[in-house]
Amino acid sequence: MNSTDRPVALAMQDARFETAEGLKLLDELTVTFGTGSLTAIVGHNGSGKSTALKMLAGLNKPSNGKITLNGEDISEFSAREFAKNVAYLAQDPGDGADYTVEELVTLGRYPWHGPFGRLGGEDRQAIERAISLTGLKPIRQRAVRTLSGGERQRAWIAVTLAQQAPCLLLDEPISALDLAHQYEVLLLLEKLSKQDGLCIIAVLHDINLAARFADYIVALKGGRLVTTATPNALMQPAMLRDIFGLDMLVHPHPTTGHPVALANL
Amino acid sequence: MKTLLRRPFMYHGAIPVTLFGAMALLSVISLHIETGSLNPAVILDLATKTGTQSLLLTHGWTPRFLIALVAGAGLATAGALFQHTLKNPLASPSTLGLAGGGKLFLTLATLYVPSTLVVGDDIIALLGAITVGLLVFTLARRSGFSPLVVILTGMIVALYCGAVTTALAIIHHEWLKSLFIWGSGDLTQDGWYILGPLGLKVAVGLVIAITLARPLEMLNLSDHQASALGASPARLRMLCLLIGCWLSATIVAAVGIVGFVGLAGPAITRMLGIRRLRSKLGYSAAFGAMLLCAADQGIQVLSAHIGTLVPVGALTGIFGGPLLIILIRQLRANATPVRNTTSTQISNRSLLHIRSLLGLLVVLSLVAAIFIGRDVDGFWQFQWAGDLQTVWPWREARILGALVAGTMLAIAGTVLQRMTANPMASPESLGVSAGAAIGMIAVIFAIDAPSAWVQISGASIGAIATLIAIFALTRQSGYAPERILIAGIAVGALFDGFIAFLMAGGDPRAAKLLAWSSGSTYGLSFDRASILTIVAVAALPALPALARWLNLFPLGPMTAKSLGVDLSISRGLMLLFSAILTAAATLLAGPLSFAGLIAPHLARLAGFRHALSHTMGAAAIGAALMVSADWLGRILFFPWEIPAGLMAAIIAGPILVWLLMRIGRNGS
Repeated sequence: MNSTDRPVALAMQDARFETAEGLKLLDELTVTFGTGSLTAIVGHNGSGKSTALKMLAGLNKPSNGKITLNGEDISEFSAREFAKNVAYLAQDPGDGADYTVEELVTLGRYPWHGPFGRLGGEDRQAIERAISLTGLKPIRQRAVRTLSGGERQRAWIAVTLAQQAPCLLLDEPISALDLAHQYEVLLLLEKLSKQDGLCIIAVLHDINLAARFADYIVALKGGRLVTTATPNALMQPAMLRDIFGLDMLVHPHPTTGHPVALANL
Repeated sequence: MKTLLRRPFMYHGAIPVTLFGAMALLSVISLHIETGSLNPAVILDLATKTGTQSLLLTHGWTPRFLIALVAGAGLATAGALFQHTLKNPLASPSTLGLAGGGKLFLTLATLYVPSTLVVGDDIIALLGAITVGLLVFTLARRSGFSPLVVILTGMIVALYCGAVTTALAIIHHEWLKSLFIWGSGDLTQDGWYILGPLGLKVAVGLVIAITLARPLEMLNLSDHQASALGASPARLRMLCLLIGCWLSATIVAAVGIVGFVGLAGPAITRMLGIRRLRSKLGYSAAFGAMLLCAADQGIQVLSAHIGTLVPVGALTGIFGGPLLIILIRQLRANATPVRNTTSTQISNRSLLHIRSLLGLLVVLSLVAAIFIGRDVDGFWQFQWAGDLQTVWPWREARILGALVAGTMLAIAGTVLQRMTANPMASPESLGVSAGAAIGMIAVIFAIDAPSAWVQISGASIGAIATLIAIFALTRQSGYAPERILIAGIAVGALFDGFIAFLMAGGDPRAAKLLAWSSGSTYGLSFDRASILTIVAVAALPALPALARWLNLFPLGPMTAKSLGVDLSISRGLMLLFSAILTAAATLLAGPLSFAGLIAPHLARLAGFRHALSHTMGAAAIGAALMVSADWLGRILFFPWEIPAGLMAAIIAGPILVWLLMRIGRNGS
């Protein structure tokens, strides 16, 4: 059950989520997420990936069990205090209203300056860093709405980075990106988790990218936990069949040696 | 919308039984009032004789009873057809604005080209309904006929038609009362000459609809599937809408606007889990007939007690508002949200131009309002020095009032639009204005000569209560902006029913109410205008404090929350702020001006993106709109006056249509 050897940042204990109509989307979910690690959540459509991420982000209240941040129940935190610690990026965060890229990223500083404070030097630094890390410098003055899907997605990732939270929750952060940008963003996330010690949790669709970049993979199926494992432990034909219901071959990558799964059809 | 068999027929069987029981009981009571007896023999005897009481029975009560059945059946069938075609449980002749369009065309024809009426008033009404229908569908097409966009557009067009009709009624005030009674749906009959033709026309529509039910059923499928099966969805849809328009128009022409029966009949049918189109049409017609008949018989019983004439349309309006709210709760939250408009990048230089132009516009409208008028003989005049001194005491209060009201509405609208991330939100469309109006009416009727402060308090309480009610009703959906809007519109419908009720009832305070509810600045005292100014000035310092929130909310509540905004506190404060502003402005501009709806849009188009500058820009535009509306209303039809609020609505209408087209284009 324990997914990490590092200090635990976020944890779910026996978490359950039911909709208002009593439909159980998640049940008996116990997982811990450590600092300085990148965890991928994988699973079939409707397996509860996004629901789990929203629970961690405090957007879905658990019907049972609890979610803790640094050992404290997240319901104890004020909204701003929580946002200083946990940044969340929704699957479809919208088209960014009327803002330019830079203005949008600036909004990520809200938890720090609050409703009345002004932007200080520290805020500006964080904004600059987020913009340069995501490679948005050339388009910082463009309106978010006029951007391509990939650029928009990077702009939103920049918002969460500007938030400077030690925990980063990203719901399919690379779904709209082309191959080169997918690797770019994942390399960035890997770097942030290693160098800055962030706890990064991302819902990913591509099992091979998850295996390549994540330290741990949390696999869900039908709203329940299948396993929490390192990529090497998870990338086994039997395990993959259990998770995705599909026969798969696993081979080591010719140069990096990471396990790569291929559908055996 | 899917009609899930969530609740079986058995469970809801009580509804039709109750409905039938109510209709029967009320009919019996009203028949007793009419004839003084319940003995069938006596009544039959009376029916065969001549004399006043016999005539009342045979030429009054009986045709009225039947016409309620016919009109109710026709409206509900039209509603069922619209709902089927548009896959939209909120569609009906009144919510699509078709009835309003028919009525507007009829009013225009009656007043200006009465000769055209020889082609038949239902043809004129049909033209109106089709014109409005085309407008609504063109505007909604680009959103892929998203149910809520269709209804929002329809409701706004209906409001607009209503505003124009009211303006016409004011200019031709000699017809005022009869236009009002007819407009609010009166079923009183003095013979059989309406029933026969109407019955025939409705029957034709009904028969065609039921005969075509099988091919029309294809519209339940996606267009691709339907075409693959050999049907022509576009043609079927057109046909379906056309029959619906025909039914609505003939009924509007015969009895005026009777709202919500077209919504309620199909709603009951859906509750019973009836799913085939043919049965849906049949059942809807039956329930619609029973509903309208029960309502109308109830009205007759009521009228006999309170001794005034109450049109049944007013009653259905009062019941229809809550019904719409219930229906929203059933609507699944999968509707596409309305998206914002601007996507153009504006350079700093042209931004400067736009802003200077805006400033110029405000100044110009003020200059025109202050200096240009017409003299006693109606000649245009630039009034200066001596002339101005003479008229100034009358002019200063209304200019100040219009300026402040426009500003306040625009600010409230900006706050609401940013908060709900919904470009269609505004004090008018959220029903806040209507709520404030209800609050004020209550005060006026409860207290003799209430002071301005008491009126503002009453209006504020009404506005805040409306907002709380709307948010309580939509809490379950996570305050989905679309639902909030529909709930607001429902409150507005309730208010309209209320006004129509008071208006037709002949209460002497009603005339004043009409002038006020159309936003008249005529005879506004300086004291009252300055009270409004005080409220506005007192509220403004709160704006910078809200600015941070207002910057975040357009990104959606999820994002705002994950950035650390406490949703309930921030929402509560913003609502309170806009409610107070709306209440104060409503006292002056009346519940309908669209200033709060279009000013924030125009400000966004002018490139104001940040909360504070957006609000300020909107305020300037709102002020300019209201001041010029006041001025135009004063001089255009001199010596008659079009109230400022009404005039603002008439100016804003075309702009609104243009904005809606932009929304549609970018929304898809």
